[in-house]
Amino acid sequence: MSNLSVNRVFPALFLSYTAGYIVLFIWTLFFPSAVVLPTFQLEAAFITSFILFIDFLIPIHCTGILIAYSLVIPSRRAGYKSIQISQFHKIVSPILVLFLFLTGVYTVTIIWFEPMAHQNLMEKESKTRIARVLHDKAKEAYNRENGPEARYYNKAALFVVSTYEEARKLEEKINNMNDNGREIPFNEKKEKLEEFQPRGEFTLDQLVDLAGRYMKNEDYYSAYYYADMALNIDGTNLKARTIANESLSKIRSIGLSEEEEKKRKYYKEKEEAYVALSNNNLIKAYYTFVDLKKQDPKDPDVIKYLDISRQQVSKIAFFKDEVADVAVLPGKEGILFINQNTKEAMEIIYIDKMVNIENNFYFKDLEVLKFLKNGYLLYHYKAPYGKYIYVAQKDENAPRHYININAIDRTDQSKNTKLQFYSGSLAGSDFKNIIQIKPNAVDMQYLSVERIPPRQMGFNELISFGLAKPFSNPQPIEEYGFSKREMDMEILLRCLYPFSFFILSLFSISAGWFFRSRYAIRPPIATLIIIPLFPIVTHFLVTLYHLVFRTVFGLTILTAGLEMSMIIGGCTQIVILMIALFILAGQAAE
Amino acid sequence: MKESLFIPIFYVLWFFLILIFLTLLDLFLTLGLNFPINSNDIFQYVTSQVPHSAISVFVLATILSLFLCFLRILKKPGLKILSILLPFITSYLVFTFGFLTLNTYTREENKQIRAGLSSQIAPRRFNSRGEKAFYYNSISDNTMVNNILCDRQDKAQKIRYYPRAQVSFGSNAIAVLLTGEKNTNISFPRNANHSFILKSDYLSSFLSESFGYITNKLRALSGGNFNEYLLFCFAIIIFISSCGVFMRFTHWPLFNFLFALLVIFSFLFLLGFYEKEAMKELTKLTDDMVLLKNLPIIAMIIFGAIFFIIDFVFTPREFWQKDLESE
Repeated sequence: MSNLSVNRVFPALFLSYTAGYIVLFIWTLFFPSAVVLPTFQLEAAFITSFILFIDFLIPIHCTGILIAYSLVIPSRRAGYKSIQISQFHKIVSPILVLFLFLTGVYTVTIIWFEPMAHQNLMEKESKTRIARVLHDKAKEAYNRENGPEARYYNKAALFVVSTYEEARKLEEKINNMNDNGREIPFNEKKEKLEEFQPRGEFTLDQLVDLAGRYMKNEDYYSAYYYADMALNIDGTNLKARTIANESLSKIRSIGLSEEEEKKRKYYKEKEEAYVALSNNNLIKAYYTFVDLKKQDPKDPDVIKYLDISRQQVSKIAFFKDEVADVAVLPGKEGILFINQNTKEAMEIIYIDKMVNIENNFYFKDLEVLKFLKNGYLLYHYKAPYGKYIYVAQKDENAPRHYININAIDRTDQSKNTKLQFYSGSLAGSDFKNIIQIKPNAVDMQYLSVERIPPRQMGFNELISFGLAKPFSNPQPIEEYGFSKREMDMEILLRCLYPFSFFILSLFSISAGWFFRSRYAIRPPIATLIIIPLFPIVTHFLVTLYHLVFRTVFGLTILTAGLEMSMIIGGCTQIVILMIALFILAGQAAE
Repeated sequence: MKESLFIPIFYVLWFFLILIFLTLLDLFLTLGLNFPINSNDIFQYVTSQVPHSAISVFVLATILSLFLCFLRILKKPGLKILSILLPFITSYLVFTFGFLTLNTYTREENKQIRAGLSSQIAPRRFNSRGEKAFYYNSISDNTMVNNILCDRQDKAQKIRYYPRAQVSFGSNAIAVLLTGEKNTNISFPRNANHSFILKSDYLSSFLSESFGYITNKLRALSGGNFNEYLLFCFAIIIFISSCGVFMRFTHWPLFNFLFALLVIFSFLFLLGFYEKEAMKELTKLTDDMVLLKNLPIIAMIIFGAIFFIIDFVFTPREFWQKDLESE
């Protein structure tokens, strides 16, 4: 008997699911909701129909159960008469296990797979949008017979979507242009910067020891460098002081020993660069070493200290070529958030675009605005580029997220980017090239002018925003200036839907059995033709059921908050589950 | 005979229970959409809102209670003529006079409290509106203090600070006038802030529009020509109550039940479609506006009458019991 019921319900459910998915897939093919390139169309149709299928799964599932319990099980071959009263539980118990399993699968799907599908679809739409813009620019440049520009934009378009057919065709046309194949480099591998060992990672003794060893080896620049670092830690260290003085006098004597005038100048410059590096005047040191390398590319001191200064500079600035392609790469646009909010003042940050390149987050067109709450605008400026910096801190409350807005040219100081001030200035500010920010780069993508619908957010992100600090007020998302109500509602609904799935399955068994067919074998064919329309009615009934909870939970979230709503929601679901089980048990006596 | 006489009691009881439940639901929804409401005004707000909520769910409550009535008749058919006529007469009387009574309350309580500004534009939050977002810190006497406007379309500056802004309330929208270096404005629809509570799909919103259409038409007619009002109520009730015929259409009750609901939903869907789209097209064919306006009423009465006749003459009344007894 048990096997009989599973054997009959499972095929009915499978048929219902399959038919439901096929109908939705065909619907998606004829009425595509996602705007994507032809190369993505089939994949997008599968993803969209999958999302729709999950959205309509409860009505489809309930329809399958209703038909199984009202038509398939009660048929004569299924032993209709014998199960009628006394053995009803036998056709229900094994199915409950199946439904519990399906509820688990459904829960995992709505928590993980559906948001993943949404994100995948969004990514395809975003890639399509960017690739089309780049392709249009490439076409425009091609029409103007500007080969390098056309090549650059077309390569960028193909970088975004490698299977972009139109861009491939345009590539052939561009390659046939008579311009000797000149091109603007795109997405070249940037010079990998070695990890710089911060000054603080050496102990005083290690530094003095290093300085002494360099002194012994007659590497006076390194000796001075490490002796100076040691003196920064302990200015009274005699050994470090001696090494510093001796190495400096040796550096000077080397310079003086050279008779040629230009050599003297060279060494003076080298000394200045060196002192600048020691005094943390890093940008000056870097450009001086760049200049010195041009004069003598083989000087081992210059090569060594140019490298050190480059690494040092990368802590306070970044090179413009790192962000050269940010404008054309896909990323999150229109980021907006409150960065600081005190009783007296508030700072707002707007970022036009954020791009992730090899796990480094870069920003384009940042605006920072700070005003006093008495109505005085302190400053409002724009930085063309920015780079996200994370600084590990032991103290949990210590700031750890920064944006470096100092974009410098690799070789020419005059080409460094400058801040554009709309109002006020940063005079007196401790941070002129670094902005201390509250959110991290990953969270920032959810803080945009056009909000990401919570339905498209992964459960992890929802939890990190919605339940980051349970029972606390305000939550992080609110501190950034955004309402968390929608996210709360989404969290609650994602917790509710698995309950709905299981409870409505129970109600469907009861309803199916209550309305079971009185035909001995099968109903007339005409009735079977109407069956595909049943999900429309069940969908409306399920929507009505969910509307009740949306309404009640909507109000409780607004008045009592998410945590209290979850408690109320949990209790409500348990009560309804009990009712559903009682009604189901009552069917045995029907 | 005795079973049939219980039908009116059964109907009235279920109708009021469902009406109370749906009214409460609508009240919760309205409170949520207009949150936060000044706690001093809540009682006044709720009492003034109850008739409005009850009226907006009146048609749905009628449909649901008639369906419960059909189910009872299916299990306990009673006398054929009475089981057809009694639900119709009872529901017609309850519907016509119930709606009229509630409508008088809504007219008396005309001074509905408008929800506060914060239920439409939240303070200390970025209120998104397409490619724009608006932030204000506080408001006093329609003057908003410390405002930020973010406009992604603005080529010069994406964010701007306005120490002061003026807000004005329209019937459907709230406009914020920002004056400063660059004068601009931004408007928000009413109840925009908590619209996440009521997020429904295309099918459900179309049906709710159809319910809205019927309710509005009833309200308009009840204040005008009383005979027209009675006729419209008659058309609706005769159609819905005649759909009971589908509950006995086959010997498969699930099919009957879902099919009956499908017929009613389809009709409501068509009614909405007729009012929104088809009527405009039909005006190209005929100038007879009286006919066009009354076409749904005529259709409802004709279909209702046909369904009643089929029900009376053809459908079996006791298949449910016979099959059970035969086991």
